[in-house]
Amino acid sequence: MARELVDDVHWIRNCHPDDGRHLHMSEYLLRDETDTILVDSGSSHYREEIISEVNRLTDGGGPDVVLLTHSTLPHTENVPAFEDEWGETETIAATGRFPEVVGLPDAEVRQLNQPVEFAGRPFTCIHPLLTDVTVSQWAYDHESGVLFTAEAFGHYHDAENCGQTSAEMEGGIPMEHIDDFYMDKLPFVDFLDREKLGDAFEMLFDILDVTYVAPIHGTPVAAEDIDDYVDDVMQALDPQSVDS
Amino acid sequence: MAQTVSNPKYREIKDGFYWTQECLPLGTLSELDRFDMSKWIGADEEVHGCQNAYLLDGEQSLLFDTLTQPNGDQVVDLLDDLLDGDDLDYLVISHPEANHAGNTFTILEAYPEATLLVPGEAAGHGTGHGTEHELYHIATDTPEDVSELANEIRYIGDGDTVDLGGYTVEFHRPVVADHSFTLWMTEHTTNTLFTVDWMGFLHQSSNCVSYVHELDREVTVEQVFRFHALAFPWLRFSDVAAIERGVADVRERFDPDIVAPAHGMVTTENPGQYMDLFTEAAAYLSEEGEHENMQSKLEYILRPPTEA
Repeated sequence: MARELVDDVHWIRNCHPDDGRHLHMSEYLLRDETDTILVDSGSSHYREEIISEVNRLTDGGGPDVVLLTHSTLPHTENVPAFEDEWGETETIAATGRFPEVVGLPDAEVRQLNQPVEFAGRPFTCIHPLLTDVTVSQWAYDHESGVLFTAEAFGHYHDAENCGQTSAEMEGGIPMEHIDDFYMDKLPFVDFLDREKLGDAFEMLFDILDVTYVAPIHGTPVAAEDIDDYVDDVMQALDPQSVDS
Repeated sequence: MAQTVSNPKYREIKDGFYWTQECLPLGTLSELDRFDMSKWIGADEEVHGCQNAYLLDGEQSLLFDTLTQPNGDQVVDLLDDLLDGDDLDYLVISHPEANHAGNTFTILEAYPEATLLVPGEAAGHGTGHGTEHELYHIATDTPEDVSELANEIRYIGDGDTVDLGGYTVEFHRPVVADHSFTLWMTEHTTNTLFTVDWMGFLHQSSNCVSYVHELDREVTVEQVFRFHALAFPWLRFSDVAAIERGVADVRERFDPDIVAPAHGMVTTENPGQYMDLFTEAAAYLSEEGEHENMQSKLEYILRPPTEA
């Protein structure tokens, strides 16, 4: 259920069945010698598994910081259970104001567009280039080079691909699974200027040295696959490719 | 300045048609100086965002959205007052996002006979992942997720209607939305269009729960721009011509007399004027996604920590 992506960064995932396909429900745990950061809290459907896995990876200590990438279920739901399990934890909401409005009255608000430290580890959080609801953030871990992307870069997968990274999927991530995810997830694709969005993605990946794109509902995408995967996402965002 | 979600206020739009609003104080112009808001807010005035919910009370009653968790008890108290001892028959959540649906289970507990109406499938080109209802605990076939609640959950979709006796509502696939499980609603008797996240705007603290034509100053494109920049980040990367076609589609299909948004003031006179403001604001927003603007912004915000 958990595996190490790069040094100190562990991918914790469950697979939720969905009409014959699977959808990843992921959290990421970053742990060095002294501190632990957990990206997202996951769904209550997998609460016991997540807590068990975090306990295993942290020798029962739990996270020092919970960094949320999205302020809806299934990203936020286990925060209270985590505090029951491990005591008071610094939780960073994916909203800039009024965390109580998203059900997290004790959380700290996000700090976007500047380097910040969580448990002494440098991150930069930005408003996502692609998201559904605005209460979301992408987080770049400057130490590992992993970019956590919330809803963006998600896709469905087949049962035989559970727990695989993009580099391990023979033939790559099937286009129809990327198509289906975006057509299901985003109701505004008809209004997008894909050239403009694609240009912004290209700039972002030129600026950042990304080792993995780490979505919550998709397979982690390794550096060598990012350019091709972004091309696939841009194609998936074309509703004509589905309707035709 | 302490920031607290205000208690809900309300007013009656028509007999039994109530608009409830909670406001989010966002600070004064000086505190928000990164925004150019001088065109519509005074130096000492406070800027508000807001959340709205709407109650239709005919022979049966229906609440559209729930306001937010800090006001859970107040919302139930207000419903008790407005319904005057009657039950709530239907609770509709426009989409399962906390600022729209955060009090769903609080309200259902208070009104165990109420039926919860939720969007049945995605608003986009897909059908929506079948997992969505399970993950939000609003699946009709997983009663164990809501085992404490006696309420019926029913999926609704484009074209479905509910006759409340005196009011009739119809649900629609939204034209402009963020979350995939979003539904718009119309009310036939008053020709009201409930636009959920679309057609909102920030307002001055002197103008809470006011109709647009009652505001103490004109709504500016800046207000509309600032709200939609927050609500719909994708507008940075939008195709302006496609947006214009979408707005034209709204005018042609709905031609509403009243527009009732979730995050702005109710428009009862000339709603088309405010759709034009949105179109203008969207055009400005799309400029933010242009190459030159994005490049300088991304290079700055993604600078290494050593350059901070």
